[in-house]
Amino acid sequence: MILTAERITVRAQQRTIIEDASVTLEPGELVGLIGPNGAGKSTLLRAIVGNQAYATGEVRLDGRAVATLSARQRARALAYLPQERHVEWPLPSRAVVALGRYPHARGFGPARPADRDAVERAMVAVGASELANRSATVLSGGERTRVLLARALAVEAPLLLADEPIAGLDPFHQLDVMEILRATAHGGAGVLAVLHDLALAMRFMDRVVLMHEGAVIANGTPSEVLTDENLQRVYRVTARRGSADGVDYVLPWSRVSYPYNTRDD
Amino acid sequence: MSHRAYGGLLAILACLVVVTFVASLAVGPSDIGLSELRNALQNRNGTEAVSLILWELRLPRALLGGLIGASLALAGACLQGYLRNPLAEPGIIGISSASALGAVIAIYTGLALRYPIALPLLAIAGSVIAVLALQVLARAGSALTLILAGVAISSLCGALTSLALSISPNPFASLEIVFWLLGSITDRSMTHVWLVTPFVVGGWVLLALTARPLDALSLGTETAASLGVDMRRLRLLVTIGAACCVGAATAVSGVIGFVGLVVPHLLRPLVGFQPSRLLPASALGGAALLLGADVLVRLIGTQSELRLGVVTALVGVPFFFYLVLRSRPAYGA
Repeated sequence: MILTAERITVRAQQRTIIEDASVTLEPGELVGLIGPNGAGKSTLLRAIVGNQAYATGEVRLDGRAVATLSARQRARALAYLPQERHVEWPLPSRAVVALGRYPHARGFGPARPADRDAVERAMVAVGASELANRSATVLSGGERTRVLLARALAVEAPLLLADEPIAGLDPFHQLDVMEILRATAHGGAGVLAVLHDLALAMRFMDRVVLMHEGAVIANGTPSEVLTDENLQRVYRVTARRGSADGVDYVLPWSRVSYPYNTRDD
Repeated sequence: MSHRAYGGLLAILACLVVVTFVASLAVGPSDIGLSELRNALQNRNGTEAVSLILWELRLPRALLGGLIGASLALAGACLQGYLRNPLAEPGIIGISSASALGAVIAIYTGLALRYPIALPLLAIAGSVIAVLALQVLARAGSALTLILAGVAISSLCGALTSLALSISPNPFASLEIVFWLLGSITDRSMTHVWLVTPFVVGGWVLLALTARPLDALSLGTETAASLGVDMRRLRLLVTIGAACCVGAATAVSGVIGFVGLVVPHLLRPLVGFQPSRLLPASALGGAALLLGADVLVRLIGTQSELRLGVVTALVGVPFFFYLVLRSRPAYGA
């Protein structure tokens, strides 16, 4: 399934949050949505999943406007992992993951075998099987992210949108989540993830979309987009580069001084 | 928890409801044996005292106890799930106090004396007005706006009730208002049962529809919406459903606190914390608790019968303290 978000504009309280932002997502690709804080990345993601109203623009799935789909159809096509990582009740992890089957199931009663299998697959995919019976409120940050990611994977939607899936995780778990996302994309899904870590974006992403002040200003392979010029202009940092195991990496190194910062003595 | 364990829990709760219901029929000032009860139950139009006591006094009382207890606890469970707050209860959205105000107006104006049916009718009208005001005040807002609007409605109705009490020229009316506010299901008739049943059952149906969306809401509004939950529809179902059954319940029983707070809280760990599974369990548990408390009211011999609302709070509060102290780690900081 191909996702196209075309010229999305979101306004709130007379302020334009994003303007004419377009993004596409195809099966099998892992795309990074990057940009500094406040660039409008999360808003664009929320607009695509239908949690944010937009003034103009259109979101299409395989050419069909999402506005013509039922909430259920849209939920089956688009899995979404929001930034909010709070689980309200001390539900067992398996019950949390099973909520991913919400758009597929109807009514009450025991889970259907197909739903149970999807839940197991998702828990295996993130390596959370041993957490199944533990309460989701007592998990560590890394464990909880894995369980909530499994919840999103359990939808088994052709498209997955993840908002800062590695925020607050240690390096081991960051790499872990990135590998899960890559495996999901290689499994045939289109994955769009908001990311702040430029080094991981460079290494793992097939393509990155760079946002700045509400607009998409670059779209291409990581090395095409994460140029010194773009990093200075958008992130106001310089970077060191290198390569290891045949893969290029980039490391943010120092701030570019602000134009209005005169304290330079 | 497994499906079978959950079924077992519901079966135990259903048995409790049956036991307390029979006890409610059997216990009272006049001694009636179980065999006499059975005979009287089979004879609707009997003229002997036993038949009259059963059909005119105890059956309506037991039926109302079950309906009201189930309504309060079910509405409490739904509101706790919707507001994602274990401290929510039906009173929090202002329905009970608006309903109480309607009843107080009926007593204050003397309407209730002339037409007894005016009291529950005005009480229901009060809750209808409150739920309409709630929709207008919290139209586009979040759960927090709903709580704020509920607190505002609740305070306003409380103030107007106090006003009616303080300016009432008739001390008997004041006394009746105070007693009514304490909550009771003594001396209600089958007319009351017929009056509240449609509202209560309608409310149950609306609240039952919230079960699965409430599960999805455990992960927050963003996730729930992305899973296909219509948040607007969910809020309408919860508020109108709660208003129907709690408004009607308050209309015949007065204000009975704590059932809506304690029952879901007590049963939540037993159903594996799943909001949808909590709903039927709470309805059964609430019915059993209120029926039990109403039997207790009759067993504790005081000169004038204890008020049901007082007993539920007296029994409920210490128990609730215990729960709060014990369960603190489960909810975390």
